Amino acid sequence: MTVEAITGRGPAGPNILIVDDSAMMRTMIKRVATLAGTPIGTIYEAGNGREALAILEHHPVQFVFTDLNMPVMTGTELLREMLTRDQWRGIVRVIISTDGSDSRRDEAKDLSVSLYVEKPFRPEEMRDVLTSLTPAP
Amino acid sequence: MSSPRSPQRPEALAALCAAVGRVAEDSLFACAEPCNGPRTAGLLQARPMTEAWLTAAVAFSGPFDGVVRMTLPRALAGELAGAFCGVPPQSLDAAQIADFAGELTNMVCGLWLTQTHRSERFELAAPSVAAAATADVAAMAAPDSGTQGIVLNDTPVLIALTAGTPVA
Repeated sequence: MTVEAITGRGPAGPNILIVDDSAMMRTMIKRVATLAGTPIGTIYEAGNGREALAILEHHPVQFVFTDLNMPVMTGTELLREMLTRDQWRGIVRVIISTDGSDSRRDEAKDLSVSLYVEKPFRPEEMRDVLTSLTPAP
Repeated sequence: MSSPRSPQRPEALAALCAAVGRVAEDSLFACAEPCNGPRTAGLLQARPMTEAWLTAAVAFSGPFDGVVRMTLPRALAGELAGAFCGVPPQSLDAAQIADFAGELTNMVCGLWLTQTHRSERFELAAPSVAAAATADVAAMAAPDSGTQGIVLNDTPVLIALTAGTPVA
């Protein structure tokens, strides 16, 4: 579990939690996020759903970008757990997964997921996701 | 293939090659093209005998079960990992390169299953990555081995699909 403060451009933007069991995928998403040109606060990283819940307990987070298929606690389990807590109700949830099957997408609708991004994605797709979720300064 | 639901291997390998091409183009700024058996063998013969290779495997289960394996030179994995993360390849350590090789195979397997069986649900296991010797790689590419060659950034890569649940 790591926490990295990103030097924002202009006013501080939302804090983002990236949840993926691949450290390289987290690095890639983090890099795209920092280059997207939208204000970003702190970027947190977790390797599975359980680590993500521990971060959510102690840090203010506005966006969660989560993989689905992870050891220990999956992204689906994480998102289900998030539904049980009122203080996490306002967090924007984005799934980033290789699994784009119809059943997973249907399941996401019941988990308050705002966007579903399939891997692989082009860096500009992630930039567009951030832009669409972040209010204009 | 062990299940009547399983795809035919040549079709599945062709679709897996297409998935490699899409991943290479979208996320790695790389170019991939299928490579026939004789050309693959020739490219492998030209590689140094002492070269380090990695084999990454992702097992999946669902309407049919199997394992997708990608075998590539470690140096190529490092080069692609650097492009993926936007960092110099020489700054990456062995664990990061192995992590990337696993994620690459995970993306290829997931994309293949989504594109060919979008209405069905599969579970993918965490990737496993192991070192491979050049001699083993040559054997993997032997005719009738069920392995498909791909050229990725002018470097040979092997992809294989094994049907059935892997032995633990």
